[in-house]
Amino acid sequence: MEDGKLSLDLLMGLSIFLFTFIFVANFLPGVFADVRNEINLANQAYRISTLLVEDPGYSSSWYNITEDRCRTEEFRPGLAVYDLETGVKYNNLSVEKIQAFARLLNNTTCIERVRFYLGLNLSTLGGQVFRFNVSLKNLAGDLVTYNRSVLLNHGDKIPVTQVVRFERIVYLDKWADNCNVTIEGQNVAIADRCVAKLEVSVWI
Amino acid sequence: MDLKGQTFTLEGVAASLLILIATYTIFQSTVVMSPSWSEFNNIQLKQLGYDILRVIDNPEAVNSSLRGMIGNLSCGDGNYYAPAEFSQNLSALLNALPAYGRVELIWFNGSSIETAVLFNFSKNPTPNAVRVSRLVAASNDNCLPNAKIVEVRLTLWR
Repeated sequence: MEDGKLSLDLLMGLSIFLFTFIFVANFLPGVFADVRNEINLANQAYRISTLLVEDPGYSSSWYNITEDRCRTEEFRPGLAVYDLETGVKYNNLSVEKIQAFARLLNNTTCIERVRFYLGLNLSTLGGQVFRFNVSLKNLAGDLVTYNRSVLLNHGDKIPVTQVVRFERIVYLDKWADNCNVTIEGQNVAIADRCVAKLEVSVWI
Repeated sequence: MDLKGQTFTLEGVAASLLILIATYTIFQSTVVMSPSWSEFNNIQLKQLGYDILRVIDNPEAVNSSLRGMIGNLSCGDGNYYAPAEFSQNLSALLNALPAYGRVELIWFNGSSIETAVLFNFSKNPTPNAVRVSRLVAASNDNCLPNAKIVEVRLTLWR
């Protein structure tokens, strides 16, 4: 009587198929994990660069916060110049704000507050903690200096792993030491402005 | 009883289990719809293009600004020549990206929309180029007749 019985061949075939199926089902999302991760990082890099370049920050005097007060005060860094008549000047960065931002990033406590207020620490919401680094370079690729000290090359130390970088072209409200470009042997300021490149790098 | 072509009980159970597991797995897995990686490069290039137009639109600069470029544009034989300062500055910015660029000026001439391509920035873009533009209030009666508002259109590619 063979009714209702499974042959050994069928059992083996079924188990091989099931194992393969489960393996592929588990493996497939992992194939695209890298790409998805990059896109997530890219969103963050884009968001932070926009916040820095197109927002004057909160509060209006956030750049006066000293290292000992960064734990107690709420703030959000933004580097754009705010003009009482014309409002926010997009892409026009204030040297004073850049220096304050660099100062806060240099402090081990304050960098964590900056990370939190920029939305790069999502651990309280069960999310990831992103590492970041912000630098300001001239068009030749050298770090911009003001009164012979580097204006902005701060944040976490950039690793050799996957890092996503977003760039913005900006101009400063004061003349830095090396923002001119050399064209045909002459030192030229682009559109009579101190033009630089803001680079925001984000990684996990 | 003819057993040909009939499903046995256990096989039926196994088959239904398989279908159940497959359906469950499909509904449990998250489908992520996100822009592809190449689109991010386009976003970056497009943002840099907007930044360039914003930075060189300096009303205080003379020949190197967008307004000065339009005002001091010279033309002849169907070509449009931007002031040397503007061309040098824009080239320096494009070299820093690095990217190639094409600049077109578009304005309304009474009854028609006209287009002028700058002589030094007239290369043909590749299919994956991005385009940004900025409106500038400027005029140039010699080269851009009846122009009051000019759209400066910058096409960028790598």
